[in-house]
Amino acid sequence: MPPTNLTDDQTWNLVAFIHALTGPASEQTIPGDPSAGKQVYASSGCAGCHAIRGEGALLAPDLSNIGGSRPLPVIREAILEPSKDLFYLGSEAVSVTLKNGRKLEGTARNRSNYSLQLIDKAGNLHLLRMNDVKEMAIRATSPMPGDYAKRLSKDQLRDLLAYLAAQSTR
Amino acid sequence: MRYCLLLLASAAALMAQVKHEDILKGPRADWLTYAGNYQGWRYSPLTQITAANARMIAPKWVYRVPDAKRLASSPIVYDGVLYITDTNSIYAVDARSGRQIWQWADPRAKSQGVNRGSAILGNRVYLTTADNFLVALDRRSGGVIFMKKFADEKKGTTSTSAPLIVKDKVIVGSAGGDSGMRGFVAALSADDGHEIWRTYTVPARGEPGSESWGDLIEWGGGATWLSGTYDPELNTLFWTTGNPWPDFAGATRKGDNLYTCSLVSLDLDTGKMKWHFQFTPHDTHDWDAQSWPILVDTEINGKPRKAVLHANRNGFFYALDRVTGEFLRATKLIDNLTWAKGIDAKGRPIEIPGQDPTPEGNWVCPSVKGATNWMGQSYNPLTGLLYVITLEQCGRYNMSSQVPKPMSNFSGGGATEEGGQVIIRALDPKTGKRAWEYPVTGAGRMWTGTVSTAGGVLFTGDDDGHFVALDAKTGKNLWHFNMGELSTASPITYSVDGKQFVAIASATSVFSFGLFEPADPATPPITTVVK
Repeated sequence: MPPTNLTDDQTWNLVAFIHALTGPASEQTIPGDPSAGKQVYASSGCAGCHAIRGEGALLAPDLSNIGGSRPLPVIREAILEPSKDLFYLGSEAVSVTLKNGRKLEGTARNRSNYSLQLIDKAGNLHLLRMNDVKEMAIRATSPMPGDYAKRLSKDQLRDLLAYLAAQSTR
Repeated sequence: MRYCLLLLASAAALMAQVKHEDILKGPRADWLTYAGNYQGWRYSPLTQITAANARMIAPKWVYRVPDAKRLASSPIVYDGVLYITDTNSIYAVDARSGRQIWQWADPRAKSQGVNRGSAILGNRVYLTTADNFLVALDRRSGGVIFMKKFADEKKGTTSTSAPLIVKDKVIVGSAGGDSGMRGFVAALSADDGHEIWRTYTVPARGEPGSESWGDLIEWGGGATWLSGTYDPELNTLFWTTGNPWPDFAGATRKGDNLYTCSLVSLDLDTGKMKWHFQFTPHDTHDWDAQSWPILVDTEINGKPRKAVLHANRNGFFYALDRVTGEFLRATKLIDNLTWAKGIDAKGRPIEIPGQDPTPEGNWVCPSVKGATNWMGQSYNPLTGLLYVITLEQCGRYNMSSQVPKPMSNFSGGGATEEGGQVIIRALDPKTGKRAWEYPVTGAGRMWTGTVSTAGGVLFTGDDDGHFVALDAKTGKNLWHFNMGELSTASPITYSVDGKQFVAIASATSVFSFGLFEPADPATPPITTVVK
């Protein structure tokens, strides 16, 4: 990397900028109103799949420490483009029919040729042998709705991001 | 998000949850608390694996714990899920397949250190971080329910032990006694982590017991870095305490240094100390009392007793009356013991003069690691024997003349550990005598505990990285397996769908074993990908 001619102040500003892109959102100054964002979180149905400090559902990633563990751009992208760069392991939507006829639907917390660890909508864990599964349907996209860019206004998105950025367990 | 709004509330109420009464019953298919039951037995009634068929044991799965280097955790198991901890982290694993279900880690923790395990109640699994947060997670998802700070790492305290859950309380201890701190046992609310009571193991100046100290009482140690046991009938906790600080330099702390190197009996509801018994007054060899207080009703000296048994690092095996704290008996746990002639009628060591650390170094047995240590012991009610990992090892103890400075990695000196022979010993609680012993090869580095079963099998690790099964009655070897690295944790046993497993953490991984079964070829399901 070539040396720069930046002043000390400019260097520190650059460091702060990079940290804002990569450091936890909870450590940044975020525009928006977290209280209003909490309302957006509630009215948008987020708690139907996600949980924060035990409130909500268990299908999707827990958000109690989302601000303390993810940079703001990552949180923003996860809301607006949930299927982009999707990392399936642990968040794959599956439905299965067992050989005994029972049907289950939920998130595959893990899956191999030999076993399936599925959590259903009610929060029950099902630890299955794949030999007991007759049919399995895997959703190719994120179970998270992909239309929040349209459903949320600019202000709502800003406030929701402020609320999520404030979610830190420390 | 919208597809899952409706079905939450009603179904959640129907799910199985761990109740205090479940822990009270002791292990069945599940293993719900660090030592299996409140009495500290590490004993399971499972009988599928027996002394007769143990030669058919085979590995079932291995789970490599991410980034683990020296696991010290004893797993718990509930409803087919095994939970294993490491430093500031916990992993939920399918107990039948070894596949990870979720993991939680806190990379922002301000301290690092070993973690010995987790606890479970309701739908929550609990652990502590090295910087003293009690963490409650949803057992199914790993989602955080709360994190509550209970001690200040800036005062030298860290946390390593598995929490003990009794009724609605999470009992936690404290570590850090080798650098100066003030030890305590605390009861925190299982609901939200708030403190219910805290009992210090070193008195404040002016309090009873403070006369047994000198200048450094505020940093006196008495850490409580191992979980304790609980007697539901007496509603009493039994907790052991660590060494006084500075470990090897006793001149600044003249006196017995209460309540270090002791067993304390605490009321569950208030934390009030009912009695204490000090095994090693004015310890100068770092012989914490951190070894299990095991609660057994048995005959001692010809009388039925509610006893608490304790194999101590100082080389003696004690029996006390757990109602009153009365000293009942002490016998030698090891053969190489040079610092005391024995234990007197009141339970105080009859010390041999000249055994303290010196600037030049003083050769004393047992070594600083102790005649035994925190590795889990097992009491089997069917054999009536207590199984203890013992170490015949001596060492040279040095004392520093440096002025003690707390929280500076200064322990007042140091000690060597030279050679050593690990011997697994079966002790008769009635007499304190050995029923059998099983010496193992190795360099005296072993920290593995035990578990025993109604199938008549004792499982433990050895000093060379093997996991072994012994006949619980005779000590005869039944089976062994080379894990490829030394284990520093205690095994457990559990059952899923009627099949018994035995699990133990090695340095980096969890191994689970069961009886051999012919392979079941995989028959993959018809799979479709929905665009």
